[in-house]
Amino acid sequence: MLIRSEPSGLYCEQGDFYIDPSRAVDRAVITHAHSDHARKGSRSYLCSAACEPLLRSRLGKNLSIQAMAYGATTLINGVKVSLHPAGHILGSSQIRVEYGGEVWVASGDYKTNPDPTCTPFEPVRCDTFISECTFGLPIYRWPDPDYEWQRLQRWWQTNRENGLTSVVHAYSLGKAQRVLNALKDADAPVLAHPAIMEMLPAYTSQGVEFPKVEPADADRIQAHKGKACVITPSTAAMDKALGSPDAWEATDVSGWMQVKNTRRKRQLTSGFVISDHADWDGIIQAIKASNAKQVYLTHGDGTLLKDWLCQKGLAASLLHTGDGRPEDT
Amino acid sequence: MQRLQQLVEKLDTTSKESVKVEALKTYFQSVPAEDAAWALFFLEERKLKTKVSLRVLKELVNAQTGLPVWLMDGSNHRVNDYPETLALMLPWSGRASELSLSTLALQFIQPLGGFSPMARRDTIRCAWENLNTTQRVLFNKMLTGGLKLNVTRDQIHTALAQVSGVSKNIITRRLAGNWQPGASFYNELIKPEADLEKALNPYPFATSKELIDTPESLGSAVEWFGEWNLKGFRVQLVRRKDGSAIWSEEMQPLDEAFPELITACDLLPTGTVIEGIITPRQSEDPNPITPLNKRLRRKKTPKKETIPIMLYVQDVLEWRGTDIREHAYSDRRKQLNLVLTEWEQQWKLHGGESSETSPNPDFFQQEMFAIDEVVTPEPTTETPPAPFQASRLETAVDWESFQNQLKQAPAIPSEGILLRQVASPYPSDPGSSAWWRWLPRAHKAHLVLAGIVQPTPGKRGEKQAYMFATLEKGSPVLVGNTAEGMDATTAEMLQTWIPKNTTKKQGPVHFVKPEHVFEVAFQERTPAPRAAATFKLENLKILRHLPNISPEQASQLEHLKSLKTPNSA
Repeated sequence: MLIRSEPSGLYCEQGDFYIDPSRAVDRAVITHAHSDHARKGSRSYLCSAACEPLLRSRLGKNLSIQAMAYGATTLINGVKVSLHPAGHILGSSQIRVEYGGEVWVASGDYKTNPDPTCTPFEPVRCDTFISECTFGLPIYRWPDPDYEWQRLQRWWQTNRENGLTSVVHAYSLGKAQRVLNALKDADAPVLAHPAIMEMLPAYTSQGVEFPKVEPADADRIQAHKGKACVITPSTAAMDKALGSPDAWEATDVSGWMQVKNTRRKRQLTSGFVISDHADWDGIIQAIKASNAKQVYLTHGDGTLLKDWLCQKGLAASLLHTGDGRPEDT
Repeated sequence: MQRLQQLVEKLDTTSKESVKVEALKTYFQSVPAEDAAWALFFLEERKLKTKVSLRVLKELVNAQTGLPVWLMDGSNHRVNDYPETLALMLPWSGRASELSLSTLALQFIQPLGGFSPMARRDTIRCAWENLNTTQRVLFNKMLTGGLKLNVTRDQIHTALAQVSGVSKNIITRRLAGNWQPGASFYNELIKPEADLEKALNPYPFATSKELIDTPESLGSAVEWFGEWNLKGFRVQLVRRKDGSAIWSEEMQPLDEAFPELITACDLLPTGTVIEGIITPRQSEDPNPITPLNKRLRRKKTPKKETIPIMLYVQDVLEWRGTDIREHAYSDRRKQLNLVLTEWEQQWKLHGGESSETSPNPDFFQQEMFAIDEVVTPEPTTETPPAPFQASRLETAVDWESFQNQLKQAPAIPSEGILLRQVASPYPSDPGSSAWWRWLPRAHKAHLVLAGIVQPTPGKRGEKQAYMFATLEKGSPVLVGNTAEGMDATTAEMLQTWIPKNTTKKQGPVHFVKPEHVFEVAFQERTPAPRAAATFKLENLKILRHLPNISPEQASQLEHLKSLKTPNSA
């Protein structure tokens, strides 16, 4: 096996490097800057050019990072390694590993739906495809993003009419910037949690457009009470600043919002189905396009998907990688 | 369907009652009568006869997507709602549907029962094509008979009342019973109130509070009437010119469920309102509500009534068109007896059975009868038995006598005693009630301490409970437990004694040697088929330790079984 699963993550023995290791290692190849994939302490990192500033921002300015353009190749102990767009968030990559005529691709987190904030997914042909399957059930079929963005705008509008501040839960890297980009023509104040603001320059340098975004603190929230849209990773993070729950209305922007039961469990009365992961069709499409004979499913409960792929004549199995819960959905 | 989708989204995304009512109002005001009627049909959770099975829908989804049923079943674990699961498995659609709700119901749902299986599938598929994903969820639920929305009947009726200007009670009344959704029904529903309808409204029901203190805190027993707090449906019967109505305490019209009461009520003079409790005449079920609920759910009244009922009349609120709630209870009861006497004559005239064999409702003559003589009328199969009877009142000179009278329990299931002051009016403001519910422990027994139940650690306020039993052939048979009433000295003595005399431990339950006897008061005995004793004693309180009584001298199981308590057979 060119890449195998170890307690610390995916390991390529030939190249002696890890992909998204969960602990500090000598050489780490990083798919994207989310905290369940990129962890500090490793001696050297390899990632895409767009991912580098995000990695430095999250893990430390003085990291030893080798940044590569998509499609460029490098050799690590005789193993040919290249990075290809995964379409998950800015700078996300699929890792292509080739040795002795065998090609493996680890998808990392990816999606096939369009997203103006990052380079779109490109299928990569290989012998073995290690695919994430966060949403590996046929009930997850994403709506047209524009449809959801319009619904979100209407929700914000209704809240303004009712004098309520709108609070949107979105992960600080990736989803939040996508939401902000969708609100780029907003005619009401937009505030964001500092963790989100920190990531904006990396995006703007890549040409992604945002509205005027102010940091969300108690004073600004009070000043724009009943009008603003506050983007934050969680309400708990902004507890004091937001004030009494009667003054605001919260929602989630996430693939899990597809199912009413989940919305109810999270005690949400609304939800918008925008995800940075592939839906059922996206996963099947990616697997098909890879032309792989062997598929490993990871990052999610892939049992049903695995059975379905096997029924279709594909060699599919589950792969358990490392630890750590997904940061985002 | 667009507006219904918006209404459903609004109802799902708020918990504020006012917002829901407003959303309903907006909906009813913005759609044609036909659609409003159908929306009401589904909001009130009425079911269409044509129920399509989930199997058919699964097959259709399988045909359309190629996804197998096992994958649908697996996905449904996450969703926990099959109509939603199936709608989500179809390719996503966000189209703005042109279909109105009434068209959808009349062309795509209602006629399905008469279609061939193939035509049924085609119709459903065609509907799916014309609906977006959210609407498909609603449609699937309508098909499989389970559209449950996040709204209460009360909220729906409030909205309709505000839209139409008709009072809520009348809206509730108009929506009771079977009706067919359609524009004409909806227009009738929102028509201004007719005088007659206004006239059939009940008075607000007075409420009672639970008596926590001893009855001595209420003053002298002489000032109080007591009557059995019967288990059943509390109702008011309203008789006005050209009409009768029965209202439950929750303001639900019960006319259709109890037509014999309507017939009986018609015999009252116009301008009468009486209040009482409906209970089943004879029922094996220890819970009388069960057969009554069966009557509510019944679609048709059978020719021969299988669940006969009796209305125990407790009060009269209006007589010959005059509101007499201000009068003292004693006067109202006198009036009630006159009402029922007159009514009985009418009943006999109209072919009903005479109620000569029933207990004399006139409470003045109560003393003429021995307290423990309770006779219930035998229902005949030929003419319908009289469904009205005055409830039995108890009076006593002191609280202890009251307790003694309570030992002679009636054969009608009840929960304690309802105490009303002799001179009190019927409270017109439901919050200002001077009625009390008293659950007295009228019975005593000598019981053997059989064990203790340790309180749950960390649960505040939970006390250690003591288990009591009688001895049957030397072994203890459990009859009940309580944490109330153990005095401090005895408790302390037991604390040292119990650990040394524990025979068995089962989790928090510690069984002890059956040596100590206590005098225990209790309220009643209820059947418990799975218990070794076949019954259990309710509402116990430990009165005192009896160190001079040996366990063999304690009360016997047979004696306990023979006691007449309110809810025991």
